[in-house]
Amino acid sequence: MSPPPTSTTASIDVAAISARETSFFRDIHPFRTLVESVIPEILVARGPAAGLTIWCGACSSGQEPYSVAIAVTEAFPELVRDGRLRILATDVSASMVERTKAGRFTQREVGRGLPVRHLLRQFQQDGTDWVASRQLRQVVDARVLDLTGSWPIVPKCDVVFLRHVLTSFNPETKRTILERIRSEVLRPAGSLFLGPGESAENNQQSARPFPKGHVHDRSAFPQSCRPRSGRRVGDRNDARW
Amino acid sequence: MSPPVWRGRPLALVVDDSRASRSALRRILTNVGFEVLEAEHGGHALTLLHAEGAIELVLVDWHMPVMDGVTLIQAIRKEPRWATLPIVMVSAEVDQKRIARAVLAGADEYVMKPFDGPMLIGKLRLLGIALPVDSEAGLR
Repeated sequence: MSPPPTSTTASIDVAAISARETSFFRDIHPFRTLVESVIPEILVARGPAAGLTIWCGACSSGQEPYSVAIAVTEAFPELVRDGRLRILATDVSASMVERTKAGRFTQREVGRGLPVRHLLRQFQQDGTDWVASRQLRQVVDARVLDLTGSWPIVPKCDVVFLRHVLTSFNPETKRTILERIRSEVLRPAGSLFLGPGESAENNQQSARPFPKGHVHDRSAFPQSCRPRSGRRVGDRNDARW
Repeated sequence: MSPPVWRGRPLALVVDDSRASRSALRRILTNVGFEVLEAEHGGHALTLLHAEGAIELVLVDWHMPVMDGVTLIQAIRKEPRWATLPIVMVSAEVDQKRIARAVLAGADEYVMKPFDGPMLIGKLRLLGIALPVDSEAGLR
């Protein structure tokens, strides 16, 4: 691993990152893309018996890694059944990591973005909270990690989710993080997911860009994910999850 | 095949015996472009559904006089023309088994009270419902 950026280049707003808003299946589209195209392509490239490692680099209270776990479990149950799925969930906040490990969410939290059928199938009610199934909690491996520090716990990954966090960094730190993901973390057929307002554009202009089609940033968000006029409400779009 | 052309505000039906709940739901739905009809119980809702053929979304409470929400959902699903009509139950019933009962009856989604605009709009998005007005307006 290359040396981490110095503290002078790593202008990081820990409070802003730790307190950022989150919800299950946030933006919906990335999770569909993950199971409908990204994972199938990876399994073709690496073989159907390959294990899958996914890194959620800013997991906050856990909604994103558990959304990934639910999506993959529903679409590729054999990966989970055979112990071939690992989701590394990291955050700079130790308290957020503890919450993610527990897989425990309030009624209000499960009310944000979690489809009711997944709530019923993948969670167990415990008082006023809802706890993710043992199977999901075994798949999600939560650890403390500062994205601006060293990354000794991060293995080679097939997929990296780094969504709604890059805007917390200055441009140089952001560029450095993306370059480290490209050169040190992502496997050749791997994909990077950013938020709908985020981009790896600057890195794509470097000598060694991410492979074409393997960065899912704002340019990859289809119109169907945005509110539209000129369409009947009763017409389902392709965003149903 | 060209996409359908929107020619007016879509119609939603809010079924709840609480005037306050109906008002809250009406406000959120109106902000994202719906026209809203209100019913105080399931029987009234069925009458409106038969009278208004254009209802495209139903939000229904559980406990109501005359006909409760689960019975209403079962009645709606018995009609083939309403087999895919989006139904969201909005209820203070938060027990897992009760929620499962509503889903088995035919609810597509479930919103646990108390709720806010983003929670409801998020559920509509999960159902793949395209909102005609910038949905962020409904979240404020």
